[in-house]
Amino acid sequence: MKIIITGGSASGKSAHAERIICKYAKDKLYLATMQPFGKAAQQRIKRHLNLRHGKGFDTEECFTNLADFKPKKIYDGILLECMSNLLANEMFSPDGIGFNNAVKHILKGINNIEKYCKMLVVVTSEIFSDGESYPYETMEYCRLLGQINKILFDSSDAAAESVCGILLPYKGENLL
Amino acid sequence: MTVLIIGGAYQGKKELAKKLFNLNDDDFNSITGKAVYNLHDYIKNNNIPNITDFANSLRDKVIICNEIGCGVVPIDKELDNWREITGRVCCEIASFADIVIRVTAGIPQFIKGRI
Repeated sequence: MKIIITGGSASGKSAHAERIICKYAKDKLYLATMQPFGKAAQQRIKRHLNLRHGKGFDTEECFTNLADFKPKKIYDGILLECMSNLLANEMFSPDGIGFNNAVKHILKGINNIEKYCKMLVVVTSEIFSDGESYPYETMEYCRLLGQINKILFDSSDAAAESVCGILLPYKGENLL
Repeated sequence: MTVLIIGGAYQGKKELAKKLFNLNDDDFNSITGKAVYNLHDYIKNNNIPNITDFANSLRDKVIICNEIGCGVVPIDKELDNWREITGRVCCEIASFADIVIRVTAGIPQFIKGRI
């Protein structure tokens, strides 16, 4: 089973993703994709750690190359957070695969980690609605994230958007 | 009763609030009044030391706030922080609000509670 949770910044996505995976999975892995660079990232990571505390997650990190990621064991559930960071890492970091193959490589990565769990929850992000024009690299990033989200939503059993902490289902409402 | 009205800019949030809750323009004059307009602007211009305390101070009001978190994360730290705080404040208000409405092109979606 695959469930996708999207939403804008600070919209309560993670709390819902955690709630949902806890509903289905006893043995669970939090797979973090955010690189701990800078104060803002560290604060976010700390907030997420506090949020997860006591819920029984193992935690591992995967910043790029999800396709070759091998968890220490098979889990009931894996929570991947979040797609927007993973894509940014693949596109912009020195270890990343680059613009041209990022989408294909990430989707291969999703297929890979699905082999290690009964249910996968992916957190992604809504970054598409500020109406701004950005340099080519950023616009490409938006386009590719849109492409990935569309494929993830298509292949998911349930998908929803968190708005002010309220979950608005797009499909598979009974699973959320 | 606490009401949170969110949505993009220029979607008719204030008009809807006035119509549904019998408010006039003067009701939106201050953060301590019975209705608050453009909460995201207030947050931009004021220091919010504690998100929960601030959200609680807005109980029993009709609060209008733009949804500002659905764009590319800004490189500017202050702008990034502003989006973060605005989002968290809205999550807190929504958690205790009786009604949360998302307005798109003048059309209200009641995402929590009903009138």
